[in-house]
Amino acid sequence: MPADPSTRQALYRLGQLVERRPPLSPELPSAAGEARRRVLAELETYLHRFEAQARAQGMQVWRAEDYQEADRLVIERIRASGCTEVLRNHSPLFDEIALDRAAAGNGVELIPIHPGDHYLKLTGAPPLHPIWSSAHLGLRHLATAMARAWKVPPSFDPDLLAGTARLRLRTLLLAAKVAVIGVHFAVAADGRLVCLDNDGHNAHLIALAGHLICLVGIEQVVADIADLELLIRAFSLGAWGQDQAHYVGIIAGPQRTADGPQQVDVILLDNGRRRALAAGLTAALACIGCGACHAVCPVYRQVGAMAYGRHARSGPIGAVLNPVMWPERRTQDQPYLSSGCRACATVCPVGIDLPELLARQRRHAAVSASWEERLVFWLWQRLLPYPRLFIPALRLAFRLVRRA
Amino acid sequence: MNDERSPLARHFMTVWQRRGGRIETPTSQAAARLRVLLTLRELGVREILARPSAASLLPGLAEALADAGIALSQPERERLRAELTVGLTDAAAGLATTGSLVLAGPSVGAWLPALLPVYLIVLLPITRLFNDLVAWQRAQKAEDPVSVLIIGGPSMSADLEWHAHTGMFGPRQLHVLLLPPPETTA
Repeated sequence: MPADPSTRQALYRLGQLVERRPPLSPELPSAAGEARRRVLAELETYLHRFEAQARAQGMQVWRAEDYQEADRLVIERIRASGCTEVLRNHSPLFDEIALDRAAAGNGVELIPIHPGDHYLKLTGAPPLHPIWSSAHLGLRHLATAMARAWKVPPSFDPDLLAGTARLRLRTLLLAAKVAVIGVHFAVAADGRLVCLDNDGHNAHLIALAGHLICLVGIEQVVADIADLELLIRAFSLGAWGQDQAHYVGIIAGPQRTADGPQQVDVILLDNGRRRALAAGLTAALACIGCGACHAVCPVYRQVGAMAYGRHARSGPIGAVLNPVMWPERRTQDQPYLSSGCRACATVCPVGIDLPELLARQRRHAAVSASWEERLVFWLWQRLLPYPRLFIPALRLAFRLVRRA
Repeated sequence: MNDERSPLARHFMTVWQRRGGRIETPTSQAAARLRVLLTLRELGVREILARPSAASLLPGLAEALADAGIALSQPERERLRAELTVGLTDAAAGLATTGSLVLAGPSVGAWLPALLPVYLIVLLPITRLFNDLVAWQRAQKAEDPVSVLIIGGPSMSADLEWHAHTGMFGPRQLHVLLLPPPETTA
């Protein structure tokens, strides 16, 4: 089903922004991709190294096999702190594990401190994109939601609205006790955790909250500071078209003084990632989540993020990984959400050949398709040159597919 | 300008200015002190949030500020004052390749003067310029990893229908003073 017009318009605009960027230097995707693949080839070794180093820095480290376990671990840590209102940053990991819903079910309110995510919470809208989560929200719609939620006079001046949001969010930050943070990278060599953004909300959370609960996908481990620097650049270029994110916060564990977090918990999340590695999708797990491929994908621009599922990855990378990582979420047809135009491959800052991976997943889907589905495609191929036979055959095919 | 560091300084300045940051290169520590004082006078503030190490980087600065009636307030996490709109901090490094500043220390509380104000003055000795993060890391003697904040530009948000808003959480304006090495100053 196509996305609504405002979503399609926002996605089109986002695509234009990405297409206008200068092309990536050829060295970056190959070097950054190599840095990712090197770790993924020996993931367990790097994970153990990260765990040992993080513990040496005073962090507590857990592993979560699936999203339920991750939710449980996060909520247990929050409950132990005695807080019922907890701040969170912007991270697609929270949607993946449906953390907001799980927390609400346990009497905990997770308050997004990222402006875009906070606007989504006010309006009840789903996210647009892994980075530009709220770009599809109309100014009037948002202004009305802000006025209702914050009991302020309605205004349609974007500067005034942003200023009001700034005051609200900073007030929440200055009183922060516990924060849940979806981390961008975890450095195996020294156990440090890294968050990037342009507005500084991550740095504020790290500096102001006394207890950090950090969520890390197991594939987000990087070898060392040299690889980290390369991947910060790759992420910044893919996400915002900049050489460098405006804020990069690197946490070295609980603080030895009263300033800064006294407790840092780290939850390493699998949730289907090892299944993807076992299925030979190492190249896809090299993804750093910058969302560049989403913005240029003509199919994504039409269908939007929700076509991939509320709690799955969206865009071309989601179409590759979702059927393997979360087959139970009715994701098997997603490799067909592609036009084969190769636009995604040209913008990926870690050089993932997404069209090849999508074709591979389509071949896999074709082999494992039901006999009815295979029969439909066989008939399609045979009857396409004969229009008089084609229409009745198409009707029959639809009937068969519905039955399957 | 120190010859050895000049290419790094030029590169750093170019990238920093391209991102909309303000940078000045006082020729002596006395000129740098004066620049800080004049900037604060232009901004019309009587109290600023300051990292203690920043004031000690420019000998005589604390006294000069006191004489001018400007108080230095140290960040305390338990008693934060959001009304302080100007911050003064020193950078552990400037990275020429990316035109970014590195704030490092044993505590992330030291980041606060760089995060909370609307206008941030950063003192960056030219001797602390490095090519990149790896070069800076190699030059560190400490074994324990420290918490690091890398700042590459003002706090920006475009989450409201693509409308760019500067100063969403952190500073709207970043003003770097690239300090000359002490031995070359009068």
